[in-house]
Amino acid sequence: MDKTKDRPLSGTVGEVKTTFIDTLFTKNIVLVQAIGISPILAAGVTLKNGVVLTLCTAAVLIPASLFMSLLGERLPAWVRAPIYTVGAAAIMLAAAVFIDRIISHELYAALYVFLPLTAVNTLVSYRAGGFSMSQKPVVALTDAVVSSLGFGLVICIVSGLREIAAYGTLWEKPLNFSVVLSEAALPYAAFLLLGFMAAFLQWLNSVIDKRRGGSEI
Amino acid sequence: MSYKKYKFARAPHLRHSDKPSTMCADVLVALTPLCIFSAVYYGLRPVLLVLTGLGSAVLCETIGCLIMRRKPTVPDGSAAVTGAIIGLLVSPISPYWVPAAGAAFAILVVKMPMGGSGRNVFNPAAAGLSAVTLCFPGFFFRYPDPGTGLPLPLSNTVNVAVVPSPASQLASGGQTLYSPITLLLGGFPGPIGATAIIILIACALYLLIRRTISPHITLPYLAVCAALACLFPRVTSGAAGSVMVELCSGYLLFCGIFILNDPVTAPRHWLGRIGYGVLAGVLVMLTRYFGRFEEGACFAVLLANAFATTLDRLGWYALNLRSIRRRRQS
Repeated sequence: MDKTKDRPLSGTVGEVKTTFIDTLFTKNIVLVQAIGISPILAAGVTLKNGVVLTLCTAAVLIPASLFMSLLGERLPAWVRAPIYTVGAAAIMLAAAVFIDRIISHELYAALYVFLPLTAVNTLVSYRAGGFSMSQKPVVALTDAVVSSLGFGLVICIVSGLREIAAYGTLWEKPLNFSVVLSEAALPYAAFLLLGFMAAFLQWLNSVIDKRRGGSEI
Repeated sequence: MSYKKYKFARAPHLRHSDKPSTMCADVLVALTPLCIFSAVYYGLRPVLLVLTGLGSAVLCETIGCLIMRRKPTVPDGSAAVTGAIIGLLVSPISPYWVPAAGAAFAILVVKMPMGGSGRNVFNPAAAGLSAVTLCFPGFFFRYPDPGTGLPLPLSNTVNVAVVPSPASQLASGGQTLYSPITLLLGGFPGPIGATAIIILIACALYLLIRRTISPHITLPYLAVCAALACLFPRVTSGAAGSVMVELCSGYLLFCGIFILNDPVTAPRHWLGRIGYGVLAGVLVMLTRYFGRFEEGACFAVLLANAFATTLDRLGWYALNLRSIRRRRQS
């Protein structure tokens, strides 16, 4: 019954590499699996928000994934989800206090609705509760890091572009544009951007598949 | 077990036997008198605005086809219709780049990425119009007085007095100043092609006779709009006055004739089409009563488009309920 005994603690380099490429590009968490879109739409308006949300997601996802990979199968099923959710909520509480007291109150005021939501994000429950459970710790750790990276890549591109379009600034530095499109801060602009990015990724994947197929023949 | 035959409205390119582009040509023919009517009031400027929208749409469709390495779909005329509709729904004093930007958005963002002609889920004209309305609200809903009798200058920006349109008078809760006869004859401020109510009705009859538009969509749509206007009047002149002003102001009627009847994004089945008309009517009136802008028909059409396939399926279930039940029992 206990599969964890048979599993070596570290995975092979190949496994880690496949997980890395799969999670970052070919099965990008946001663009292909469509997970974790809500913070991008609502809070991904400035690059600073994007980076903070990425760091928070990583801070929650990495311990949760590691925990579930190490201990998940030894725990009864009904206790798994409450444990990692409570853990995630505790981490987010600490992060919220840290942002409010030490970084800046304005940033906290802009994000205070979305920080607690990160703890119960589908991204965490799906990667930690679903994928990591049946994986070796190293693979689960790689997956958690790369999932956060994939999420961060998308939210940073979207929020950066929206900040440039809506406020004419990047990381709160003015870029001296004459045309400012304030409607880019509305959620529909993020939907359009995500749609185009998803289509671009699909095209990229199909091109890569063709190249691979061609070289093998 | 035999199901009732599921009658689809015939595909647009098979409706007339002569040419695949007949339907779009019909619509363009129906749009021409609206253009001419506007030219009588405002001079050549509205015609140039419509042509800008049309040209931009055709150009973007050509570019899109080149990028996708497809045979150009410009000759089927759907891009020209999209561009012309956007051009006809902007204000006569808007800068030339407004219809051009709307048409470019419609073709490059809404139509071509979905697969081009015949495959788009959302109506490109409504989407292009929504995008420019949301992004540049300052250029929308500012209409000149048609009663001055002077042609507008052809320069990019125009400085003329702006008067409130019937739709904005309704939205601000004020009493409308226009008599029913003025409303019918189109002598009130509004979008280029949407004020000539009598000409719009004539266009609708022409398109109905040519079977280019479907009475199953337009009639329920107008009936629901009229019923809601009658039940919840925003003017003090009573139910009849409310129906008259609500139906004639903004581009409600234009939308029901030209945009809702797009054969690509509307349901195919007659019962689905009736549901679609009713849904669009309710949404149009809701966006008018509670929306941010004085006219939100383009947003309502986009919302209704999302339900087109579902309505088709629901229509089929409603007609085959008995045979489905019998099949389940046996």
